[in-house]
Amino acid sequence: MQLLESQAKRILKGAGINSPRGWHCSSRSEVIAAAERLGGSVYVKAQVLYGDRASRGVVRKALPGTAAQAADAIRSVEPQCDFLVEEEVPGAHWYLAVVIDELERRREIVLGAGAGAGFDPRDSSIRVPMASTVEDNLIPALEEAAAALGLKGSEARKLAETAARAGRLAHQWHTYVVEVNPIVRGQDGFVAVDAKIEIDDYSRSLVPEPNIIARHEARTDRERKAEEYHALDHRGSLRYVQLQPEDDDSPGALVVGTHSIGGGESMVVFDALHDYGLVPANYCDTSGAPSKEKVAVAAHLIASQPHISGYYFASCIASQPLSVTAQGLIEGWERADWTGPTVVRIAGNEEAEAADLIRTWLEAHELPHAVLGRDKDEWDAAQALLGLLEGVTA
Amino acid sequence: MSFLANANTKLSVQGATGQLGRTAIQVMRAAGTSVVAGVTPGKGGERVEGVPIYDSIRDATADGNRPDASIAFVPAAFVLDAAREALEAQLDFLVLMVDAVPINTVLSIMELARGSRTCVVGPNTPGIVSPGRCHVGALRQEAFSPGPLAVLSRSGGMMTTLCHYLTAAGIGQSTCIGVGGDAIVGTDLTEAARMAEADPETHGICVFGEVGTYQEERLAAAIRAREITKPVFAYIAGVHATPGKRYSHAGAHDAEGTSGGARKRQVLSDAGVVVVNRYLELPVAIGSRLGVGAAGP
Repeated sequence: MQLLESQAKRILKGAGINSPRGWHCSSRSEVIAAAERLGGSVYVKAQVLYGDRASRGVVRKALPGTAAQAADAIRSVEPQCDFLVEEEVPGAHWYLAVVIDELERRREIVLGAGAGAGFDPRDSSIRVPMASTVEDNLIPALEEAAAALGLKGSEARKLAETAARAGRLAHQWHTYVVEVNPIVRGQDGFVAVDAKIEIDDYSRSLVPEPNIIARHEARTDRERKAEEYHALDHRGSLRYVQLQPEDDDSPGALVVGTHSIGGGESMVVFDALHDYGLVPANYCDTSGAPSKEKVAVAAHLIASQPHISGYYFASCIASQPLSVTAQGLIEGWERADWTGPTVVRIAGNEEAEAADLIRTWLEAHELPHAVLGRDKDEWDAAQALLGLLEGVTA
Repeated sequence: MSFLANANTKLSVQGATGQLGRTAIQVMRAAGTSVVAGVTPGKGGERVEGVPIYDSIRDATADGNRPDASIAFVPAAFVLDAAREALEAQLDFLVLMVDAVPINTVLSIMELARGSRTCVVGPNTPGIVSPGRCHVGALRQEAFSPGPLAVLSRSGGMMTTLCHYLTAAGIGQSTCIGVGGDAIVGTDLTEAARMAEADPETHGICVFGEVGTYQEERLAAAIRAREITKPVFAYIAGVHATPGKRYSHAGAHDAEGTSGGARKRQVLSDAGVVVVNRYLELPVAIGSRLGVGAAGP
């Protein structure tokens, strides 16, 4: 789970790492007021979850008199975004991150000299390994790293202390990544000018202050409903990710709802759909022997999307009882009043019974459809759905 | 024709009295695996499917049922304790068939395992299958058949699926390892490939990879360094997955756009791996290269 910069900075502040003076703003007028209150040179920054915002034009330097234009320019790229307005902090730039080294299978604190947009920590950085607990005293090693990067005496000590706080934060907040790029030596110590934090999804309930991550969490209603249902019913998995916004009206795109059994299978589905020019509106995986109701919830979420033209379901050769999955699919389609072209590729345990159930329902409701088995793959299924969609259009 | 798990493997099942543990014991015993002990704290003295249950691996050992490997089906909240117990017992391998393990727990397990003789597989793994010899997990055994090909997969469902089509094409498997779908796993693709390389009866390696992590890139580097010299065949899924999203597999996440499927296909191909665009092309590619199965001589 990635956090917005403003959320990340709240967490950093709680860990004793300061950020420039500033405010989270939801509107143009709030941006103007914040800039005037700060006076001097400020940064107006879109609160969005992608990186390299500067090159996309959604981070802009402004003065109180030009903050409105900055907000307008950002909203022309990101119409719905909130802002963070902060004072400019001059000074030397450093890089600080806490990452997980997947080969060593441990967290490491990364310190680098020079930072900011385009900085690649592989070019100039030192890594200090962390233990899986926070009890180790990392300060001496971090101080040594800071000294190797050119900081001297108390400066090296202060950066080391800040880095150690970030390491402790990473453990307490169950993060994959904490990145402060840049961290700037200001008058009152090191200041996090930009910050990124990603928290492990499996640890969402373990974080010390859940309200911080709940507040601006970028989840859609469908994603939230899927998570809420999954929390109630632990049989199997239900993972839903919205990929195409429901207000997306890209002309000519053949947007389809997708539903898979298996995390790896879902990745295969993306490739198969792409090869036939189909665009997945969503990602959804119901695997690991989910209940009929869990599959029904998923199918309803998918089929009720207003912007889909077809429904694509595919399974790996699954161990779960597929007749239960079939019943859930039908239940979800009925709740959503689904009538569009539908392709189901189903293989595994109870596949014949499942295929019969689905085929019977699709025929009874006169939906354009194809029900495929293990003798066809995901690409065959994508081709079949494309054919049905073209048939409907014609 | 197997590595890691073999016909002599004596297995304990941690979390044996839960529903999944019971089902897995049935599946594994039906496949001929020697399940010598179940372990569930507080349930010592019971039996599941005829398997004696102990409070700990230590108790099983004291009772003359020392396992040399273990599979854990415990809830994520208990997996660290289960792993610690198995690591302290210095088993040959430990399979963590546990989903949704918090990252700090994973890192703690990996720290415990550092320097240990126990090979940790997972978490979020479907297990290990050495067809006809040892079946560790709950996958349907009919998909698998004995033969000369190692199958290494970041997906459990796709491991079964691949093996189904390989078996149908007459290409059997030496050992299949689901390395796990999480971002941080114990044995990764490269380490599993090194085991396959060392197994004299494994003639080739088939890989199901996917976006996220740098496992495939490390495998390519090991091949270029000639640590892996046996033919490697790969399908990489999720080339067209939207970057920056986390899907079901926590590891299938291309956060920075640097571990995407297209790049992985390229680096593997550059290292000499046969990379296919559709996984159903694998049996033909493997059969013709290894001279086995329907595409063989």
